[in-house]
Amino acid sequence: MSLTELELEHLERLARVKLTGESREKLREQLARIIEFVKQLQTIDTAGYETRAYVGEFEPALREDETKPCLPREEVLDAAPQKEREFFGVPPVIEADEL
Amino acid sequence: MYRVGTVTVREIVQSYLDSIARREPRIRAFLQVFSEAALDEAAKLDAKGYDGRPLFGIPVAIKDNLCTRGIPTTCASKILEGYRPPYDATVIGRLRAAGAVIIGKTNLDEFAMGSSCENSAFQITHNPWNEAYAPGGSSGGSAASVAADMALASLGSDTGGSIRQPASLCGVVGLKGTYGRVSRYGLVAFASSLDQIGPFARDVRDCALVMEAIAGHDERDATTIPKPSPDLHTGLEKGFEGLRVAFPSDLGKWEMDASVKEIAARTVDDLAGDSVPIARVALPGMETSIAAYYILANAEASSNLARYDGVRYGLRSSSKSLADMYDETRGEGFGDEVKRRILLGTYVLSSGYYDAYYTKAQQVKALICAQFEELFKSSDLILLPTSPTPAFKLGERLEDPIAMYLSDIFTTPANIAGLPAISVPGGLSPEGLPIGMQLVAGWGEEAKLMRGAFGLERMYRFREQYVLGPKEEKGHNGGR
Repeated sequence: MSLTELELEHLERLARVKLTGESREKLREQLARIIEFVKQLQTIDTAGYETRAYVGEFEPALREDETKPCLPREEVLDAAPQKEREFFGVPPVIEADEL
Repeated sequence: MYRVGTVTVREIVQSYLDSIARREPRIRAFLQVFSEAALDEAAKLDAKGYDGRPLFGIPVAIKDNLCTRGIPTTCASKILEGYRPPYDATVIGRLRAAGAVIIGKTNLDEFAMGSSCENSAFQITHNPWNEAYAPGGSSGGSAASVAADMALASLGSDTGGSIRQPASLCGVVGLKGTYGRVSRYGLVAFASSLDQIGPFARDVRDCALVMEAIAGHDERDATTIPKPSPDLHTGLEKGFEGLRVAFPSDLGKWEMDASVKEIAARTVDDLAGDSVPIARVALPGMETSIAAYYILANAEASSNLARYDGVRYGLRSSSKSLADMYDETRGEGFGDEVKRRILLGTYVLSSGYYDAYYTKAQQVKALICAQFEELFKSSDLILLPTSPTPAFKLGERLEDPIAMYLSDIFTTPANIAGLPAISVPGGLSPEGLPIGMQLVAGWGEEAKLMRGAFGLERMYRFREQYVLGPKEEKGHNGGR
């Protein structure tokens, strides 16, 4: 199979990853081969099997919904590339021409 | 050793630091070495004196996808450059509580995605047995650090074989426990339904001791098993006594190096010679687990890695708008393998494909689990090679992702079914490269697994027979 330019652009947009240069072409070709490879699963007869996310004897248990100490805000914010007061800083969300 | 006071922790730690100074420039297993902090910690332990803790004074290396408070945690990715987590992973706290000295953080394939350690954004790790060869991956640095006597034990993570495969390629013991055995709190998530942290060590007993120290329920990881974890070191010497072994009857179908086949066949003969019951079985998931793995793991990865967006930590590209900032930060920050997997994961989860790929893979997972359950009604352990080949040359498989993925063919079934599995060094190839054999046990049966592994170790006598590198280069022989 092959992956069309349109399909690749769609994936880039969904995944919010911008591919550039020659690695883009290479990735397109490799992705197509990998998709072809994993497609083989569709020939396996799984009739009667429910989907299964968790294995083993225990299902993950939810804890009680109670307030507990968490990481100090200052320390968490310290790791951010940009912070303003007690907030993460980001570039403009709404472009000037959208205002 | 410490008990009789013949050697101090400081001397032990210093001897490992010396070993790092000698070997590391060529092996490049470490992203960071904590010389000062490790010596300080050693001095503190010496001041207190030996207190019987199981890992007292043992120098341990940590894969760099485990969070360490205030200390860079990179996942070997540019996107996390400069990130210093505000907390320690649960396993770090447990190692320290057991008396271990953390000596450094080791190299990996970026975000643990790879089988050769070549996908690191920072450096290539070399196999200590032959520097032209890959150490395996993704926990290649952790495996190489123990193989080259630069740490007495180390921690890695195993999503599709990332502990067992490098253990096999580097000639050390590597263990992945039952899914839920070890808390992943503070492990940078790759594929949450498969990831497990586990130890590397030079022998099965050390591996058992490290596993005992890190295992157990943790309220910060809801998937951890809510009951006490088993004693793994008592009764190891019973080996295969009372255990029934299953061996794949159709192993010949898979492309494998002749030396791997030879060691597998010899192991079966030797066990049979020791009157261990061996059944020939069809191994669950051999046809399907790699494809199921790449769908499930990458679907989860595409979701788990959505958090690297330049907002809360790590790299941020300078862009005019928020949307461009996301696209460019992730485009620049992730390496090619990570992008490949995020895009594949996005593809299989996208509208129109979800059922055909993701739902199907989850059904295949259920099928594989059911087949294993059936198999373990009449067997205790499955014996099979860890990797179809010994170490491959650096660069050899980089251009062919599917060939690289297939190096995990014998390891992924245990991840899909959440079963404990271990790799034990079995011998050397004609080129002098280590080959590991793998045991897989039923859900929660690590104690049986470790006994079998000890039985294999006693049979192979790997460490007694093979010495890595010239004698004078050998580090000293450890602290216990």
